[in-house]
Amino acid sequence: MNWLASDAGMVRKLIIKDWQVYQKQLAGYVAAMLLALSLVGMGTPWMASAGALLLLVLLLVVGTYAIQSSIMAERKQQTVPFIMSLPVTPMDVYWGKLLANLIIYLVPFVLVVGGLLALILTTPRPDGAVIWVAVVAMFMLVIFCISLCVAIAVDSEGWNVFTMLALMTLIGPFMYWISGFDGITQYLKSDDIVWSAPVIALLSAELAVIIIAILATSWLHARKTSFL
Amino acid sequence: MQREDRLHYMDNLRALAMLAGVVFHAALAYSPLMHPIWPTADTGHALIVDIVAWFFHLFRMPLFFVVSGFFAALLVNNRGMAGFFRNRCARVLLPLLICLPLIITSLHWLTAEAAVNAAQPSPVLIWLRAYIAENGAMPYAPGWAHLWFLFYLMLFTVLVWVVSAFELARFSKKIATLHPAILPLAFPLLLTPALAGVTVPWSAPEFFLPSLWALFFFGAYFALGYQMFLSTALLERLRSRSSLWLIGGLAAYAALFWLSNGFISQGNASQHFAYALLEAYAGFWLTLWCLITAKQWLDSSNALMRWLADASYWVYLIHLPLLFAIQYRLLDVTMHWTAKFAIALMATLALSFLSYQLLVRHTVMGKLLNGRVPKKRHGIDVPKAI
Repeated sequence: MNWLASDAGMVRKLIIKDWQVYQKQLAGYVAAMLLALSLVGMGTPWMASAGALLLLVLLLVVGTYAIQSSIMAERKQQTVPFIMSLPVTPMDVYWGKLLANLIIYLVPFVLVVGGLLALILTTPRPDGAVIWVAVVAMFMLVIFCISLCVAIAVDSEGWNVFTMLALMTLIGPFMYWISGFDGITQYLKSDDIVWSAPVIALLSAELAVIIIAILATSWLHARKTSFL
Repeated sequence: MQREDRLHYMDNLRALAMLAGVVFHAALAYSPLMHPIWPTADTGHALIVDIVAWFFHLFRMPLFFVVSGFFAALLVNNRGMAGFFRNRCARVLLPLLICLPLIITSLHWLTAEAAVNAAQPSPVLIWLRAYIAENGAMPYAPGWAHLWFLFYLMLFTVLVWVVSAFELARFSKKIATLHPAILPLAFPLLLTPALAGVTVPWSAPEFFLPSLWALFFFGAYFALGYQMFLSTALLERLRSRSSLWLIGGLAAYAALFWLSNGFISQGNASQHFAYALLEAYAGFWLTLWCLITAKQWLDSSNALMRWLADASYWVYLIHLPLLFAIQYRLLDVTMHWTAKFAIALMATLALSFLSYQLLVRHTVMGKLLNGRVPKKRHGIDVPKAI
């Protein structure tokens, strides 16, 4: 059972292919995110709120759309026979899809999270909110990674949509939960950025979920001997 | 175009726009308008400073962004999008990341020292002195300082990719066929809403997050420069009316200065919009005149201009801490403001140029800022690729 790609160069080409196919949509999202960051930067409360909400919505949409267009749509359009005709192994295609989607998502993700952190650190807003943003951002990444892994592993549009919706539904309750979380709540309105033990544990758990999801999907794919 | 060819008028314009920035910042210490808010504000000030300094302010940075847009299009044309990104990361992002912490730290330290030690402090220093006495330290408000334009250049680099992905370049052909009078009349109208959202004259968007008005305002000038590269005849078609743009720009600026009472009055909503309109027209027409005139008079190079063009980037990067260090000391010197202005400006330029020649030009930093390290050949530098 081989977990690795057979040809790194081919994986790179597959990533570039997905990047180029998705480029126009990604460009649109990046432009919209710049607009949202500018709205936040205007400083007035309602503009900042509108900008922050737009950032979160865009982050959700960009991940969902990437998975929809690069994995599910390809299955619907039956482009797999074409990929099978290339000199690639199933693991090459798997790593290509996984890394391409991660890169496509991480570009706007880094922009949004970096922008929000810069906003907190450069304005009179309490710096303690940095921890809250870090934990929520990591949760968004977890949601994206699980959705991506399910989309790659499960050959069912219904299950993919169900997983995405179920995970998105968790965002609201999670934000509410961590706002009262020990190690976050007491610093939310202070300027102290405290990486307490519970926060580190929470971030580690989130990271562990991402790693487990990727490992599980890789294991499932490594067992495949063909594309079918 | 040969890779070794230089667009001399663009190079020279960029250098002049950057060096004008040094003059502008040096003049602010003697500006009545900036007296309450500029850290090095001197007791000696005169209206003439506001008249001249804010005049240059209206078209200095717009001109710089036009030149940047032009070179961006040239880079995309010569090296492709990936090469353009690599170039901008090396020439813009890296210098920004290297210089920003040093400049912010030195400005912070110089201001803290002046707040404590100046015998004749500016209003800002007086306020800081009280703040330090109460809190034990200077307030810290991080931002891009005078390097904000590098941050915006990086944002425009991303937007070039966005526009390219949407294949919007096809509109350039349509723009090129427009009547020559449309651009000078319509372009400022597009800029007016952005300027109406901020003070007149506009202040530097130094905040860490992008400002919507600055993205739109400077982005429009950047796009104009980009378009100028794609439609080489664009500037030529506007050349015949160049004196009109100069006279119009001067008249619009005079009206703006007079109506706004030397920028002291921001007016009610409709007055403010009218000021923004005048500001947009004055800035655009003067930018246009500079471009046309530069193509006519500055499209040649000699060793001195080549050296100045190379040095200007470094000079702009480091000038503000040097200027502040000198002007903080001059606060306590009894002298006419014109002498202080001349001393501060000359000393800043001399130190900046000297440090460029000794520490930067033939070093890795020089390569980072200007490209290839210039080779010496009989004392004259070989022109470099853009």
